[in-house]
Amino acid sequence: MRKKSTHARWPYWVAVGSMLGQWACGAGEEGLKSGESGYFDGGSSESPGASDAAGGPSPEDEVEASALTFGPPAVGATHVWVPSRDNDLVLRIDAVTREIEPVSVADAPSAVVTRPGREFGVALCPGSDELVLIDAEASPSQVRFVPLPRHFNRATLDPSGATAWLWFEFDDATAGEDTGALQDLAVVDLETEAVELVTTGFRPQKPVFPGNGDVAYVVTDDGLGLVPLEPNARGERIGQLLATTEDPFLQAGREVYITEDGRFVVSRAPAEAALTILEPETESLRTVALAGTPTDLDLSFDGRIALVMLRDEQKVVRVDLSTATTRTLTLPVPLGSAAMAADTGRALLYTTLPEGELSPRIAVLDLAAFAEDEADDGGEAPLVQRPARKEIAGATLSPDGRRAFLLHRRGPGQPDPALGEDEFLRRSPGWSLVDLGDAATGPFVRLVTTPADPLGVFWLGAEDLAFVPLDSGAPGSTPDAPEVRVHRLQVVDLARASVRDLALPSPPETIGVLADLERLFITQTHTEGRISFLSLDRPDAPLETLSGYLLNGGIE
Amino acid sequence: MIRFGLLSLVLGVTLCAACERESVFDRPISAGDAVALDRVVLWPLKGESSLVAYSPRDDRVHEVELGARPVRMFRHPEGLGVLVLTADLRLSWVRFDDAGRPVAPRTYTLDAPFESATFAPEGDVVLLHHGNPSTEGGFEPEDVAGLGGGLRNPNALVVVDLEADASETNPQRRDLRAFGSRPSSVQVIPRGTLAGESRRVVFAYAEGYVSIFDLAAPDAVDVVVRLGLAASALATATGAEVLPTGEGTGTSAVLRATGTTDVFLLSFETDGDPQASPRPVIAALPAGRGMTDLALYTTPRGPRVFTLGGGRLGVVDPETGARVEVALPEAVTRLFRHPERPGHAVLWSLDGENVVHVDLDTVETERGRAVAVQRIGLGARALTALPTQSTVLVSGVYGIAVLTLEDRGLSNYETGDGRSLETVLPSSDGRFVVGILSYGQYASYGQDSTSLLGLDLESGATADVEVASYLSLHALPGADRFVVVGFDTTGRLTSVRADALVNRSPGALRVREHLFLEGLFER
Repeated sequence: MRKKSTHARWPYWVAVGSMLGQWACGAGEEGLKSGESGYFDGGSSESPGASDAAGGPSPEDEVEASALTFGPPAVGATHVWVPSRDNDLVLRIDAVTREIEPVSVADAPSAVVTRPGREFGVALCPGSDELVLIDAEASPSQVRFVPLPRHFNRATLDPSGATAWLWFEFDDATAGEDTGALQDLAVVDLETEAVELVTTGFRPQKPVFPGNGDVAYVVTDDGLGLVPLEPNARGERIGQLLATTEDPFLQAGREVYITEDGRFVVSRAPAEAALTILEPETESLRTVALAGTPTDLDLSFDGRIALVMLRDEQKVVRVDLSTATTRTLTLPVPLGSAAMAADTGRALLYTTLPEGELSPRIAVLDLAAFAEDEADDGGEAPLVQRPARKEIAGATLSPDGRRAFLLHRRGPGQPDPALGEDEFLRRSPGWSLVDLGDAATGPFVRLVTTPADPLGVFWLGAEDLAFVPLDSGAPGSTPDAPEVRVHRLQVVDLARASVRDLALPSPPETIGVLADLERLFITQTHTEGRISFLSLDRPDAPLETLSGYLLNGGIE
Repeated sequence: MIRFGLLSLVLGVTLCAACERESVFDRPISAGDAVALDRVVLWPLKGESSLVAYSPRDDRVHEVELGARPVRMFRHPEGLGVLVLTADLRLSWVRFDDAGRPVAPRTYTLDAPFESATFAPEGDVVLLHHGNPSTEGGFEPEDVAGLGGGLRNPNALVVVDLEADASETNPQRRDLRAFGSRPSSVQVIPRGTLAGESRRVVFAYAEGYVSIFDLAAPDAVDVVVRLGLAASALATATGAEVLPTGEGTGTSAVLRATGTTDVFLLSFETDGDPQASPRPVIAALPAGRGMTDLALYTTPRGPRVFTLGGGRLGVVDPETGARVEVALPEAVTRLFRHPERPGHAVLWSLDGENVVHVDLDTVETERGRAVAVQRIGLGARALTALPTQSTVLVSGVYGIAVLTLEDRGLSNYETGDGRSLETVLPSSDGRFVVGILSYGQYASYGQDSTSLLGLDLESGATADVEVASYLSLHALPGADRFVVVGFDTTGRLTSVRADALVNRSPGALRVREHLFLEGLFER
């Protein structure tokens, strides 16, 4: 399990951003939590498939730019919370009755965050630099306004929900926006409304709250910041900055991975033939030299090993994070990407190379055999390979590690079976579900060709379901965009590997789930706001759709 | 409109060279387009202050004096009468008795030259407004130019109780609240079907919003419902259909609109304040891109909104907004339902040679199994419900088909010799079809080779007879006649009974000429 942090982010207006974020995070913790309990908050995206799926702004997107602006949703116990920037409102949408309660907040709310499983949240309002605390468990909802000393544009809550953490994400900045908080973090006590500014390294990113620790990890361009969750006796939080590399000129822009318990922080620079391991508790920093530049890196579920892919060298390196020792195995083919399963002792290896360079394939690596193999480095990896029928853009594992989702790349042109199987498959958008199987059966790959581009996957492990939103893009947005824009939600029964298509009335934006209510929601691009709900308690449930969040406020 | 004025006949009738002529003899006859009512066909004489009406039942021409030149004409949708606005801003409600004789018209005084009218479904009330101008009778914008002063409120309308004489409160003026636009059309919902038994709900459709008020609450301020709050929201509703009442739906109407991919569900409380305008709750329902038609129907699963567009039939549950899409085998654009079989939709498209039958009761669950294609074999131009045995008249350019919905039986009739069908009308009992046959796909005005066609749908017998000239064909169900209006500046028509035409009865056709000259010397 890992947490990854970089500066590469998708602007929010890219409708699929949040799902791409999850996609890129793979089987990361956030994906797991979102599947179990709520909305997935967007994250970084380095997946080679992500950009394909996202595309650029389409003519339709330009039209939508003049629509009402709704921020990314958050999930409470029974409601979906949506900030309405144009109307200074937070809209609480009842996931069952679909009734909407508009809550007046401060100017231009851009983000709303809720306490997990609670009807309590905060709305960050950059227009007036206020944080608005909304207690919707009271009747009527109670609202408190907390002025902020700086201008921030992102917010999150610590796991207990006691404090809100605010920072400025430079990549989300708009023209002319105040950028005075490039080395500040604000911590707001939601009980006392006390606001504390904490100085950080340059360009702090979203704080990470590892395990049951008492500090927040804040990745910055100057290293890893450690900020205590609780203030000291003087009521202050004194941050600490630890370098994640010995070379200060390689510090900015590193890809950083944090283990679940926070014991290790692994990082790498884009062209560096090495990785670093930082133990924040002891402040020890070690550099592990590698035989080449890693093309991918992943951490094990227990946070004790890292798997590093050296595609050019055709090797996979197992790094013991405790000892910083390595074991290297030779791959039969140049696989360059890896995803480690939760606790199954296996890793999925795959290639994103074009079909002309290497036929598409996946491989399952037996980590136990890898560890037990005491042969000298350079031995052959215990792999089971399977072909994939289309080029792979990226892959992610299910939270339980038993299955993988492959996002495929597609070639130009409209798919048509009359062109023959090879050309049809090459042109078709699609994805594959991989059942990793066991040592006896090996993996099984099911290809699903789709009528529109898949945007990512949303795992719902507890229900043995996954959801794949599709969007073909606006007509004319790409040479291959169909005349009629297609947008759907595919419901994947993981046990049966079967797929049910649900027509979405509008292009999908964000998926989330209200676990207690067993209801999934998917927000969509619509000038007046649109959200659809899907009941998970019966397999043939239709989508229930609410459109026009504020239309009833326009009656006079 | 065909301007008789272009070919105006200056009557050089000289009664006496030594006498001073009446001015009527110096003016050209400029009749407007024929308007057919239930029992008569009539023409406005645009330069005169009268209408000319012909009653085929007694073969008489009647003149209706208006007092000033007519400038607008509004036909009652069921042909019960015609409202005529005259240049002195008086409104005349012109009707005819069972024998086709004119009844002394009620007149009302207006304060503006309203160019559009909406009748209440019950026919007793009409709303005059400044929406899209009526072209009935062949009137044009310049006909009202300069009337009523230079300034007018485009959001004003008047409500006229046609069953009461003019009074201080009849007509009653109402100024709608304005939000940067003006009503393009107005619709009155049947009494009591929305918002309570006593309500007569009116929708006035403007760009971006709908104004709602109640004819029974004349003093209440109208309620304005915006169809979007975004700056780009320019949805304009074009019509409302009342959702069949069902459990959980209350009384609701669905608005179809342009400029949006949604339809709008307006739900009303039935126990609202009767002195206030009805205030709805609005919900946008996904109609899908490129919606071309819509229908409301209650299936065994509850009320549903059916939308057609993009080669798909959408089934929307108005309660939940849930939408199921069914792919259609044909690119059809229109949805037709026979009143006797509302659960059976016939989907078609202009000039399409196939229709698609859909069982609306089951399509939500059965999907493709509830959909069937049928070849019609002609390019469909119109579908008309016939009252007999749930049959549908499909009329095309080169033929007619009669489709029986129950067994999908089909009877085809084709034109011969390259002749094309102009207007096709069924008789009121559904037994006969009368149409106009001409050479070429589109007959030109005054073409000599135009025939009147009769078809007995029971026996299949047909007959056609040449008519000297053709402008328009009208059915006068109250007179059991069809009338072919001919091309003649002095007025010409041919009237016929369908059965007599098909049976080739002697004297089946009655031709009348110089209609507008009748009574000239009395004028």
